[in-house]
Amino acid sequence: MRHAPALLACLALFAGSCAAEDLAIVVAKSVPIDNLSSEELGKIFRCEQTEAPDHTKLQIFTREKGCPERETMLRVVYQMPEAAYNRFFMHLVFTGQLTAAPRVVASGAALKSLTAGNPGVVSYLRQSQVDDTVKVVKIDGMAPGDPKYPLKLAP
Amino acid sequence: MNRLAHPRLLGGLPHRVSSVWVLVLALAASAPIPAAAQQAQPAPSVDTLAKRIDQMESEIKALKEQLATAQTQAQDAAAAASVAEPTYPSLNFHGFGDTQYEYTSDQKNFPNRFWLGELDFYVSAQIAPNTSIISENVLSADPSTNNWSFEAERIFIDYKFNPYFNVVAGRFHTEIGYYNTAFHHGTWFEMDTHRPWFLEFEDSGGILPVHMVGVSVDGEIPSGSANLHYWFQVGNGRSYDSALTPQNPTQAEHVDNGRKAVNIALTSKPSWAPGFQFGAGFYHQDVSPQTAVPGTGVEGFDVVPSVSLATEDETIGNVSVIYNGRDGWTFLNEAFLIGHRPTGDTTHHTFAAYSEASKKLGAWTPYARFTYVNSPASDPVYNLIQTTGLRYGPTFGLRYDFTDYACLKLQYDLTYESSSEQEQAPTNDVTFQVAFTF
Repeated sequence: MRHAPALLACLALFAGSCAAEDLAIVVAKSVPIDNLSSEELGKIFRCEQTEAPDHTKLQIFTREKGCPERETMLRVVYQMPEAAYNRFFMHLVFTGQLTAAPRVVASGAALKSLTAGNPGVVSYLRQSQVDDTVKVVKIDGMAPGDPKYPLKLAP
Repeated sequence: MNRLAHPRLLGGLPHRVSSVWVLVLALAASAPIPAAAQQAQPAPSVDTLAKRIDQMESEIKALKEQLATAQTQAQDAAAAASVAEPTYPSLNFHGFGDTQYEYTSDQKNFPNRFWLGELDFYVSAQIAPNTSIISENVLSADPSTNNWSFEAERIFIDYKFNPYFNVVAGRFHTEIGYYNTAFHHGTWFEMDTHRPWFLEFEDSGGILPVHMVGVSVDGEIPSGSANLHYWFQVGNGRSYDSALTPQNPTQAEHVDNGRKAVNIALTSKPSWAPGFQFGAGFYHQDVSPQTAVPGTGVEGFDVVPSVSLATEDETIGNVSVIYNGRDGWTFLNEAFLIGHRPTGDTTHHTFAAYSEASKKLGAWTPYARFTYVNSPASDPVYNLIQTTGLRYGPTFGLRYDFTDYACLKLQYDLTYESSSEQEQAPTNDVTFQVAFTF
């Protein structure tokens, strides 16, 4: 029992390190999108809504298969597993609604650079990777860090 | 204490560091040292050498980090540049195919067989920011001759002005109901091994004008939570010349008359009913049925002498209720009412419908469908292409996606058929299909 305080301290540290990090939806600073409803977010990432309010053509970029950020988007926004996601976008391409599935970028830093430099690119980053080169879009009025923010990375 | 026996060197330090020390000391011992230097500078202590190695390791680590940062920045810049300056045309290619084994109880007319489905080459290309091309070319075998033929099933150019106005020109799938534009020639996308009978392609026994050569305009309708989308299409429509019907009823170049088919459709994906899609549409064409004079001409050519029948109004109304839920359930329900009214005659109505349900359970998807078609023998158009009568029955199947891009389907069909002349015994079909994409 004399080790109990130390054990509790270790558990607290472990729990802190496993706390869910939020996933931020980001756009270039010039894009006039500040807030999206969950429904609008889904429509944009499913390529059903392809223009911003100022008629900027929106372009979705995504992380690679198996990446925790992508898994979070599949779980919360697409609500489908990887295979269904692949089939969903192949179907859009096959029916002529898209000419190609969202492009994959294998690093958060590259996604941030792409987003910052290209108005119209919509992507997602870990909250810890966000800086002032990109704009974070609120979801249902909530910003990353809000306890009720919907896009939480799985621990 | 002997310095080499110091615990930091032999016991307290990691083996790698000990090895470094041994190497450094060996080099130091073997190096020629000027006599003056030996006298003027005492040998550096082990602690001093350890500090210098630590310093060098820190510098190497910093250099590696700088190199990694520079490489990442270069990759980021390259990726950003590739987006900023897209190249045209950007091509996207897919292929679809299937092979199957089919057993039917009607062995007299349809012996059990292995057979190849369509080999579908699909190419889409973005040729400008708002302009794309879609081409779907299919290679398939004629079951009556085993001859392979190649056909451009879809080829069109698509210009998107904005989300509300999109123009397509070429050969496309008519926006007639849901199934016809949700599923094209790749059976991998379809749950079942085949389309509902009446929605089969024109050259495979289907009764609807599923292809159109012409112009299509579509777009969103600002409608709030109703999320409406419209289509307006004008084209050649379908031929009911019996000389063309078995092979090429889609009027790609040859046309029966100068009057064009018109199709309008409206769909809604309401926000308040996630997963649901409601649709309705109306198609009209003045058709000029022609029947070949028996025993003349050469099969497969459109020069067979024919006799023109009365021009008729063809009207097709359709409604659909679709549910594609995130919960894995899919329900497809469509109904068509087809009318043929010869000049000076009454309208002959054909009713066709199907309902399909499936539930995805991991890689397995059980499904069921019920299909119904009732076409009166008095309909002169469907009489011409020999599709009158009552036909209905259930389908049960199981799909297994054994990879992301290939699946197995095992399907059972029970079909009842009857016509005004006779009622046939029901047929039982079992199909085992492998469908894939690449």
